[in-house]
Amino acid sequence: MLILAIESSCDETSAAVIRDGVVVSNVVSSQIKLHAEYGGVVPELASREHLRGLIPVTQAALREANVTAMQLDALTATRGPGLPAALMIGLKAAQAMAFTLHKPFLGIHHHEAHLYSPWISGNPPRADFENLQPNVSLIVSGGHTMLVHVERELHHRVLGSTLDDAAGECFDKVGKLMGLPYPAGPEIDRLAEQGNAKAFDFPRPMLNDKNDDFSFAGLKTSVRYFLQKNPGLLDDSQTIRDLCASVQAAIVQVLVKKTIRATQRLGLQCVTASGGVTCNRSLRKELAAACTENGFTLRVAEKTLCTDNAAMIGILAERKLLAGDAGASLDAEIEPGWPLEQATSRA
Amino acid sequence: MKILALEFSSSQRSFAILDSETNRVAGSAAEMGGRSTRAFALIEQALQKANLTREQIDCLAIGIGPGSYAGIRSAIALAQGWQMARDVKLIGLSSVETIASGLQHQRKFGRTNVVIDAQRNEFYLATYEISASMLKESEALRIVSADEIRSRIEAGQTVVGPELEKWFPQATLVYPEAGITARLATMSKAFVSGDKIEPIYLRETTFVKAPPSRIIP
Repeated sequence: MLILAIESSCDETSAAVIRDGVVVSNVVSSQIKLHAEYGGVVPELASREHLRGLIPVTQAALREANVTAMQLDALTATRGPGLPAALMIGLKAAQAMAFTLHKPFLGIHHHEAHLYSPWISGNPPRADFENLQPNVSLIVSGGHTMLVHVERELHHRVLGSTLDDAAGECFDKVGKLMGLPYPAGPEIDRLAEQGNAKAFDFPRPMLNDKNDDFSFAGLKTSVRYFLQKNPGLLDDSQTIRDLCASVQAAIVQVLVKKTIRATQRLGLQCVTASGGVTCNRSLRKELAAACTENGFTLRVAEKTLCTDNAAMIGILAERKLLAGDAGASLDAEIEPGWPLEQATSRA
Repeated sequence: MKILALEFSSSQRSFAILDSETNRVAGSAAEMGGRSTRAFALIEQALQKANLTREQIDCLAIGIGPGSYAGIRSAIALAQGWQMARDVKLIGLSSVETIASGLQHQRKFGRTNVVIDAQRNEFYLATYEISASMLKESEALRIVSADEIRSRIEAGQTVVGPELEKWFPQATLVYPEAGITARLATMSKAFVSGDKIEPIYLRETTFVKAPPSRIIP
């Protein structure tokens, strides 16, 4: 089966071609430089860029895969969640291609695709669903933080999610308080490497709550008040490194401990992680160490599949079509606030 | 040339298919409402009325506003997808000109102010001299205040446009119609690649830039 996938849920325009479970091409055009000037994603600018970038990116994906649109068997795009105007551009273009080519169309839930992205690996990246085990999946990005129980392929149950800011959002906002460039997550990761994680003791929100939810707004506020009381701290670059390491440690500890605890409680042996924040080296290291200690298998999405990409959208769409999903109406609309629970039937 | 026109810049989204050889609208459809659209069902409906298939469309003409960004971008994205799948020509056309041309087509002549809501209590305004033989833009498209529109109404000038009744009850309701967009397309050769079509942006962007960031090696 040959599928073209389009992803435009936030600030990356991406198109991928999937052939029989293999990612033949995955082209991503990032808008990070554009939004960095404004210290965050500006939805209006994102929409303008998607409109300009969609055709070159899609044509590059088709070219790289050495296929023409006429050869495609199905079309797919991210239907939600995400920025409404950004989602709409990718969705309508993919629907129009499906319409004119008389091919099926599938609208995919962005987070559901993240659930399966750790099962795509190799060169070229290939879906490895034969080895899929029941797992607890941590999805952690700038827009979302959630724990999901993946019972089997296409069957999942949300265990908990953030009640306020996402972990990536916390990284970015704390970075902004320290005057670091956007996106601050990678910068904090870099600076934290030479910092002392025990230099400052920031709160670990909801760490000991007996649920799987998260909250990071309080941590951000705590850093804000701390910096207001100690303005001179930002004059010293080593202190900034220590601040980065300390904040990062607080976020990572919460993410890792709650993931491991959920896995233990459910009696599972496998943990997966995906989303932009899983590029953070400390999170990868700490999660790997905790999984080893508990005898869990860990699968973290490859870095190119951690951030927004169309490859994971296409891989999931193919699995759904093979599982008998007839596809969506071509007039299916975007779902900017689509709850993950509604994306696939629960087991 | 078989032209499919999409005019989504107002709350009335319209679809029309025109054969440039006959200059006749062979099929059309329209819907009213908010953000959601039954675009593909309505395109199919228009195609059936025109007795044409999707493959027979040679050109897509898109109303590019000014007007609802969501609607206009939806039409542009649809056209981009169509062009990536099939080798069709694309053209973007002003929705204001479509309104003025529609009035000429209906033989509603005279000096006419075409007005479209620009949000934030501002309005897009272009003024046309319309006669049987001429359609001339006498005042170029720009953004003006509600007071400017009101003063023209008080001076007895004709003001037309979509969704103006909330602010100007005396204005005449006129939507940009896809059938007129298609006719305008037959008179133009300004075909472009889909990535070059964008809504008419008149308002300067005013996004707040972040202060210079701290660079730590």
